[in-house]
Amino acid sequence: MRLNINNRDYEVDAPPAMPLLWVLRDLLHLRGTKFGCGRGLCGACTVHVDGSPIRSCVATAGSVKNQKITTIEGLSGAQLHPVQQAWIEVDVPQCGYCQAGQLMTAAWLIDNKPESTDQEIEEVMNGNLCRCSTYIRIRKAIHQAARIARDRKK
Amino acid sequence: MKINRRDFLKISGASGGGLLLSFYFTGCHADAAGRVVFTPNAFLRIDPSSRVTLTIPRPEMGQGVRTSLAMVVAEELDCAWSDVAIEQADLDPKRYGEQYVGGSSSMRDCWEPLRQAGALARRSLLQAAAKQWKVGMEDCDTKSGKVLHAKSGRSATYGELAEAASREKLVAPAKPKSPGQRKLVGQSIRNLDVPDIVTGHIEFGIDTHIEGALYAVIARAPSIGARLLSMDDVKCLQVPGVKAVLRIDADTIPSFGEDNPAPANGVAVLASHTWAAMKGRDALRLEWSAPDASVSTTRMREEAARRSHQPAKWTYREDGNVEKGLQTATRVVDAVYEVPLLAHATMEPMNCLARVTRDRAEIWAPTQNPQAARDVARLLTGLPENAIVIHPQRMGGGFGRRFYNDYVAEAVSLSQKAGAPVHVLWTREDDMRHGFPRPAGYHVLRGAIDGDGRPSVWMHHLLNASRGHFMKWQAPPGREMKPGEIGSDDYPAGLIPNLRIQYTPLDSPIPRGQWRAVEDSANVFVIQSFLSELAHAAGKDELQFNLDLLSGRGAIPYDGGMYDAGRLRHVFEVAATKAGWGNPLPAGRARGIAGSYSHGTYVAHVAEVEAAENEFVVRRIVSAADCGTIINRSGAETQVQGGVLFALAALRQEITVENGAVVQENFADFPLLRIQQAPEVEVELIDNDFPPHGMGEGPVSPVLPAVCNAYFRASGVRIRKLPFNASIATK
Repeated sequence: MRLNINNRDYEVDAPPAMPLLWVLRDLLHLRGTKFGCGRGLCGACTVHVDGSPIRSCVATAGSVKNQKITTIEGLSGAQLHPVQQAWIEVDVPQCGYCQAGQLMTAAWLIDNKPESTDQEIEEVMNGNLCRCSTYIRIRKAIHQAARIARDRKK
Repeated sequence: MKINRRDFLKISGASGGGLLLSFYFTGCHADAAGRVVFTPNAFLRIDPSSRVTLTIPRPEMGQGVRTSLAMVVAEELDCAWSDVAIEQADLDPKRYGEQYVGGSSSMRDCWEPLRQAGALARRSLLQAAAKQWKVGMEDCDTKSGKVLHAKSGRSATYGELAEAASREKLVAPAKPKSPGQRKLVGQSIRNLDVPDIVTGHIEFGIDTHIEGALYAVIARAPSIGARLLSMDDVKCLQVPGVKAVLRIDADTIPSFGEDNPAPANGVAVLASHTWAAMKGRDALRLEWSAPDASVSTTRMREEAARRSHQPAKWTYREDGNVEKGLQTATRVVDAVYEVPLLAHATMEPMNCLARVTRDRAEIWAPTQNPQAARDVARLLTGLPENAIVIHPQRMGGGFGRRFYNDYVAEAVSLSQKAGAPVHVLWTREDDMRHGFPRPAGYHVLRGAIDGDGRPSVWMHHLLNASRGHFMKWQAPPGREMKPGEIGSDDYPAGLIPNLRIQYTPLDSPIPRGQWRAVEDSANVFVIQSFLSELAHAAGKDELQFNLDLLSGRGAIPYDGGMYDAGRLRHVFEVAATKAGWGNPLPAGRARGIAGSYSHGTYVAHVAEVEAAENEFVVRRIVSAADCGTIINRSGAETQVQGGVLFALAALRQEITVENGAVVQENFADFPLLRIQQAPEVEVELIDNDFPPHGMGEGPVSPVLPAVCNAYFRASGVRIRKLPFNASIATK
């Protein structure tokens, strides 16, 4: 089947029921997207499908074959996405394992709902777990990312 | 540390020009003849371009050690921070000394030798420049990767001088910078790995892959100690991508010794990709021996309760006269505290890649203990140490779980049998069920208040199944093995005149091991909560009660060393002041305080909590943390905040065993803290010039007693049994 990932078409030999996560990691060697729970409970596997965050550990390859998939490797364009830049400026990660998922969810927030209140931010981010518990800096970085995005528009 | 051997330091030319400095860390020990022996454990390379490459000997699990160790060298070397690059060292204890991570020990161990190394390298560059320019070394100085001669205005970069510097003779020791001279250490420095993390390029153990490697997922014994009775792998082998089915038979695995548990019995499915291995595992038809219904945390707890009425097996400490103290007491307080098993739940599940051939074993292991990983490989393969290569990988969380190399044993064993490289991957369910959780504990406390409102008696009897017994700790020759669950110096030993500390070991096959902050994670909750109970019984303010306990005290013997009562008092005071202790709060809201000396670091927390129906509302946490000299201020702050939230999650967590098997399987039944539940954590880092210690564990243990003490003040309900199953909110 053909999958469009990070603006590139890939021909993959995968059963339609295979979760997108394992297609990305094992067949396409795009290992930035992580395995955490296999049940959509932790968010480590978050990617964008047609711009919206989904859990690739439960989304099947077959279900996304006609859609635009973006992974962490494709989040930055000519420059870092505002969330990536903010994450660096605020020094967010500790071990870093959950952060690709955090960034993909946060990127959707900044791109689609940059005026979100703190409560709305937390509702959206609540599905991304972090065992090192970097939540305090994640909050700070999301605000920073919104500022960066606003400044870039000027 | 006295450095008095010329071979402390070896300088040579690096291939391609430049300077290669091998220097000696921490591994100074006495050999059999009592001579001080230095073992080299790092390389500092300066290229002709002035790029400084540092090999980091300790693996990274989120504690920030790659950046902080580099900062210490760069400070003394006085290079430009932007010139620094880091590489991860392979296992080579002869070269690097200790390479484990755990116990918050990396900075404590590496601080002095790293400073020496940086300072000596700087001296070699000064010597080389002075020689070239024919000036006095005392007239030269360094700045950001250059040597300068003020009088003539000459300068040269480290890159230009490196090769000449590599020929310099050096005599240790060098004088490291004084605190006032530091430019890097003590600053907030961005973690060097963040750019790779945010772009998805960072590699964890789970991401390592080599050509031809098979992915293995293992069907493990569904209950503790279960044996495989029969196996039908016909359907499994028909799943596309499945290449082989192999057994892991614990009986055939050699005993690895202390702190090196064997893996569980299992059937491994090896496939060309992970999903195929998982589907293959689902298709196995396995019959296992019946579970042992007597193995359960319920029964373990009942046994503890029953045994608590009998005399304790071991008395670790007896001070004064507790019976007399009780007789003359004004108030006596009795309490039983219970804490559960706790899983580590690292975000990256256990995994390991191994390539074993007849002559060689090469292992990519996300492990906290690469030396033990090599022992495992040596015992399984029979290969000599020099034929075993361990590449320690970045870990997606460790917290103590990755100290145990059972997953390494699986990968090595399977690769050996399969004749191909094998990457073993654990699912979340595997990880939850087959871990080595923090031990549970049944704590019996009795305390007394005298006529002056002071604590006069303290009795603490812990009953539990220890990690020491499970992990096969051996007693030192001629001595009894203490399994480490409670210590004879545990707080508040030395501070209360009549004191007894006792321990009774329970037997259990339930696996258990070391968790973040180890036994402090349980004991500090009990001790600091019970001190709050005594404060309440004395009618005294909780803060004042804690301060009075430490008042006028200096060095208190502890665990073969000491802690400073003044520094512990200070963090209580700072946290309390910052939190506005004593200021009025709205109705229903209250403050609690707790503090400890743990893993070299003094931390106190004030929690502000509201008790609502079925909800535990944490409004605010204020932390004061003293780890000695602060290396990376940003790193220290984030470790305090992360440690606090990690600990807060444990309010609602437990691992239970019923009918011989772990009950919990994923994040639905072992909940991690979520962002909505995370209060702001205000951190006050204490600045001083004491030797630096780690910040990974110190902040963890006082959190639960601080919040539970606050909850008591807010609600009148004393939480003595964890987990406490109200939901956690922040507003």
